[in-house]
Amino acid sequence: MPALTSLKDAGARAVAAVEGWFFAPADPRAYAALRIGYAASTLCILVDLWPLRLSLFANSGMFGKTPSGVDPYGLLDVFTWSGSTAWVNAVFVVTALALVSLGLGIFQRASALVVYTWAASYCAAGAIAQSGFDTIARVIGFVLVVSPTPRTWTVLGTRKDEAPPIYGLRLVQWQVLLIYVCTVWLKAPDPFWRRGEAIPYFMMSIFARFPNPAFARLGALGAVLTYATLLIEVTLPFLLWMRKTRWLGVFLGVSMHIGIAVVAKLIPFTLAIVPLYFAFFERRDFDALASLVRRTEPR
Amino acid sequence: MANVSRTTALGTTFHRPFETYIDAARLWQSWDMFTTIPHFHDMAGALVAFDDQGNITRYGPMLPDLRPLRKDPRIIGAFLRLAFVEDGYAAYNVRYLRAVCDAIATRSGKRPAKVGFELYTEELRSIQDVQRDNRIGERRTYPFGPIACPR
Repeated sequence: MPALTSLKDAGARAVAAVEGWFFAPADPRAYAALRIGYAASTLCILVDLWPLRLSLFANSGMFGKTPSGVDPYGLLDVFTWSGSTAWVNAVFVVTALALVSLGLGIFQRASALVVYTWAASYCAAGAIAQSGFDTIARVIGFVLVVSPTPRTWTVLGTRKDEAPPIYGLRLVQWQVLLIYVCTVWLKAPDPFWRRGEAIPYFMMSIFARFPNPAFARLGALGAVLTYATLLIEVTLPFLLWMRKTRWLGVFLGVSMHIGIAVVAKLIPFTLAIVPLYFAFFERRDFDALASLVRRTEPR
Repeated sequence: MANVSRTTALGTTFHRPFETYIDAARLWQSWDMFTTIPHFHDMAGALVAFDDQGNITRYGPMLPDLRPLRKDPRIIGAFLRLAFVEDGYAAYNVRYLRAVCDAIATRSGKRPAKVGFELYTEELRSIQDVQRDNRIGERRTYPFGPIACPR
């Protein structure tokens, strides 16, 4: 019997731990920062996609009318409803308005639903032209639809003493882990990454902003940059998770992604992933930021 | 957990219980960006239309309006998938062929008999070769098709 009791206790403790992990109170500023960062970065993705909207989603585009009925879950794919130029333009304009509304904190859940519907639709219709930042826009859009919507940092004001459950932030944390760990898992067996040559080759490729043969002469520096990229990617989620190393993680992650935005034609990826770091922030992190801002303000 | 890599010896058994939820919520994802080096330093392309007499006319591959290939990472990715990736994108090839045949018919007033695609690339040369002569890319053309235009 004592064994059964201790087993029950252990089970109860495990359930409580899981509950605490998903439903403990979070700092509402983390949700607010994530929402604002997501809205701003997704608006940039929309602007980036605007010149290609007819090529990818209109009847007059490269793939003609988007077929409907292929995917049983695709009823809400708005580009299967119509492929007229006016409809495609309207979808983009309405989504842009929803993104502004989301960023300002007005009708948060409804705005998130509009944005998620657009992201899911364009990813389904234009899967062949999809990039990692499109996936982030879609998946985080879904998380915002199901997450708490605290009235913090909105144009409607701030409701005091809100402590929303943390589960939405946990989902984003898992997503960040998944992105970085999966990419390292897939890169690690590649001979170019193994030999430390991936960055020099990338810097001469079609995706580089300033391709130049000088990158072939980076030598050991090229290897250091290649291995450092892998090291940062594999450690970043854990650095962000642990309080003691969180700011180091933010510094390394932001530096790496700003570096990518400067040297590669991949600015949207930087814009899409950096706001996700706010999902790791706790009260003490926002307090530290606020105190830093106060200290740097002119007296 | 459902998004853990599908390329392991575990296969997809692990993923099956989650697939309905993933599909319904549109949460599929893959993080295989730059898992190896990009192979090209530069890229362009053209549609090659053949009429019934075998005469050839070249057009830009982007619709609407048969414009030249735009060097946007999304478009580069799309054409590389159209050209080299079979899995998952075959339907796009069929739709692209139909769309370009229609667009060429509208532009020229006559439906082409066949349409092919030429991908003009500058393939990245090895680091050692670039070190020798400072030339990053080697020109290479990949021809695809021609395929009969659907009526």
